[in-house]
Amino acid sequence: MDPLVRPGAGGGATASEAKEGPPGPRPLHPRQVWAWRCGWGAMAVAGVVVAVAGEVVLAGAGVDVPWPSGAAAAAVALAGAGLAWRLPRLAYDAWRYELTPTTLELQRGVVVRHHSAIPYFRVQHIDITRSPFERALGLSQLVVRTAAATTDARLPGIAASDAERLRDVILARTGRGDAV
Amino acid sequence: MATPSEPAPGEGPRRLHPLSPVLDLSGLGRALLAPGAVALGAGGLRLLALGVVVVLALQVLAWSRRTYQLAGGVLRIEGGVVVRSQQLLPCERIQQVNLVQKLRHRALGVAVLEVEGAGRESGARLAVLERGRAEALRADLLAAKRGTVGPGAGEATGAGAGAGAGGVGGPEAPEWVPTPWPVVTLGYRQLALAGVTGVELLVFLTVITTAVQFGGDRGWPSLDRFDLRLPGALGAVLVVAGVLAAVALWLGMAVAASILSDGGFRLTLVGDELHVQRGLLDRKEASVPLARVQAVRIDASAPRRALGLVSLRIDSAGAGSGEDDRRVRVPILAAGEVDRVLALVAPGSAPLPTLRSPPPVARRRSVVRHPCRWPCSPPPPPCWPGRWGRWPWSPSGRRWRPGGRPTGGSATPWPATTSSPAPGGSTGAWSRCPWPGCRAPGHAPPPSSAGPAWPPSRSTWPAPAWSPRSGTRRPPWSGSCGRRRCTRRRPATAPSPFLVTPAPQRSRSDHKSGRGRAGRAGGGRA
Repeated sequence: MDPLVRPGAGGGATASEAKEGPPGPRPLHPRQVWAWRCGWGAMAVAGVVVAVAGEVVLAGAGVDVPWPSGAAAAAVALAGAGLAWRLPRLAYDAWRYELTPTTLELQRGVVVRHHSAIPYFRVQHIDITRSPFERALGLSQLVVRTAAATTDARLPGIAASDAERLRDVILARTGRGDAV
Repeated sequence: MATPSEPAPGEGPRRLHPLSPVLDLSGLGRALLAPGAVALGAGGLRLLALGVVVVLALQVLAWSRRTYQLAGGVLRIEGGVVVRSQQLLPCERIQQVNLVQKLRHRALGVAVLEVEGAGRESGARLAVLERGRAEALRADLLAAKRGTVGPGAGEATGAGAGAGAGGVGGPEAPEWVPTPWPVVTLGYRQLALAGVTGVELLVFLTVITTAVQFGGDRGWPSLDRFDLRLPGALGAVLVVAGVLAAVALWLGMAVAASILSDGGFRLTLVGDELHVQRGLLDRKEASVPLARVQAVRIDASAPRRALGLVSLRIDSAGAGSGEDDRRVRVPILAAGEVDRVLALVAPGSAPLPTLRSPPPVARRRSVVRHPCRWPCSPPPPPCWPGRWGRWPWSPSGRRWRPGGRPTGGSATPWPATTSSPAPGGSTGAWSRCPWPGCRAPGHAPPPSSAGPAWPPSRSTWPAPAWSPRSGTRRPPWSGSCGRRRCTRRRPATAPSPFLVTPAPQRSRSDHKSGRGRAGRAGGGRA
C-alpha cells in the first residue's frame, strides 16, 4: 500500500495528487507498529536480562529476597510484553502527518500531544535513516533538519520506496536561499 | 542503493580514500574505543589484538558503505553499518567549508573535508579524501553554491567533481576566476605578539597540569641530595634568574601555542568568499561565502588595548558555532586596520565609531553613590505601593490606594480617574507609613485641586530604588559602564607601530577614505 496515497483516493486524482498524495492528515505505514513493537520488545528483553542478572548477583551475595526466585524477571517480562504490545498501537493511532502548502505538520504523542509545524523554507536538509528493524520491514525514517539546534522532526513509518519521493517533494518546496 | 564499484569519473557515488579506515575512526570505532581501553587494562595484549582486529574490520565495513556524490547541486552522502543513513545536503544551504589536514594527513597527502550547514547536526564530514580531490570537491561545492552551475548543469558539476582539480566549469563555459585578494597576512613576529597578549598565555596551565599528572605517576626526583644552602648574593642571583627563566618559559609557551595554531595565517578574499589558511603543523583552511557571515566580533584584551591591537572573529552559522577552533579568526590586527578589514569582510558596514568611556562622574557615582543608596535607604515600608505591583495581602487582591478603599458602594475596584476624590488629603488606613523617608505617594506633597487626576502618571511617581521585584530595571550597583570590551581604541590615524599589514593593491581608496572621513567627523561631533 502506498502511504502517500490514501486508500480509496484513486478516483479523480490530479497530477499533483498522484505525486504527493491527497491533502489532509495521513497516518503512518501500518507496519510501523511492528517496527516499534520490535524496538520495545528488545528493550523488554534487555530488562528481563537485567532482572535475572540482578537476582543471580543477589543470590550469589547471599541476600534473601522476599519474593520467589524468578518473580521479578517474570513481572518485568509481563509488563514489558504488555507495553510492547499496546504502546505502539496507541502511538500509531496518535501519529498523523500532513503536507500543507507551506508547512510539514506532525502530530504525535499518546500522553502529551505534540503538534509541530515546520515551514518548508526553514528546512536545511533531510536525512533518511533505516534501523535494522525498519530495514527488515521495508520502512524508512525521515529526519528533517532545520537550523534550530533543538528541532527534532522525525517522521517514521514511511515505506522505503516512498521515502525518497517524499523527501524530494519536501525539498522541492524549500525554495532557494540559505533558510536560516 | 547504488553500488560503488569503481564508477566512471564524474558519475555515480564515490568512496572515500582507502586509507580512511586507518586514519579516521568512524562512529562505531569511536564507540568501541572505551571498551577497548578497559579490555586492555583487564585482559592484556591478546584481548587488545582481538579488539584492534574487530575495530579495523568494522572500520573497513563502514568505509565500504560510505559514499558521496555531488550531482545537481546536492551533496549526497550514504553510509552506516547498523543504521543506514542517507544525507542530502543542498549546496545552497552550505554555510562554511573546512579543509583540515593534520600532520598525519599531510604526510599521506589526504585531507578531511567538513561541510557545515546551519544548525548543530546539519553538516557532513568527509574523512578522508585525497588532497586534490578534496580541493576539487570544495571548489565544486562553492561553485554550486554560488549558483554558477545552473540547474541543467548537474552533469557538469559531477564531471567537475570527478575530473579533479583540472577545471571546475565545462569547457564550453569558461568561468570567471577571481584573483585572490589578500586581506590579512600575519608573520611570526605578529603571531608571537598575539600569543603574548592573548589567551595563549593560559596554555602553561595545561602544560603544568599534564606535567604534574605525569610526574605524579613517575615520581619527582628528590631534591634532598642537593645542598640548597647557598651564599646570599649567589642565592639572590639564582632566584632572580629562576624567576626570569620561568617567565621566559611561560611567554615562550604562549608564543609557541600561537605559532603552532596560526602559523602562516592568510585571510584572502576570492570573489565573494573568504578563505583562511592557518596552522604550522596541522593545516586548516576554511571557506566562508561573504553572504554567510553572520557577525564580526572585535575583541581587545587589556594589553592589546594598550598596544593598539585587536582580534577579530568572523562568525558563520556553521555547525560548530560553539567551537572556537572552527571559526574564522584573525588572531591579531592593528586597531587602525579594522576599518579596512571590515570594509572587505562585511561590505556595507559602517566603520567603527569612536567608542568612549562613561564620564568620570558616572564612574564615581557607580562606586560611591549607588552602593550607598540601597543599604542606607530605609527598608520599604509595609505600605509600599506602585512598583511593587498588587498589594499581596489586600483582602480583595486589589491595588493599594491612598485614602483607603473606595466607599459608597462602588462596584468597580478602581474608581474612574476623573471622579475619584483627590488623594493626599484623606489618609487611608494603609497609607500611614512609619518611615519618615517613605516614598509612598500618600506622603508626597498633596497635589493642588486642579492637579493631575488619580492615579498619577508614571512621571510624577517618585523614582523608586531598584527593587528585586521590579524586574526590568538594572540594579544600580551594576554601574552604568557595562562591559568594558572595546570601549577604547586608537584613532584610525595613528597606526600601531607593532603591526604592518600589506597595503591594499586594489584601488579602494575613494570608498575607504570617504567612509573614514565620515566616521571621524561623526566621532568628533560625538
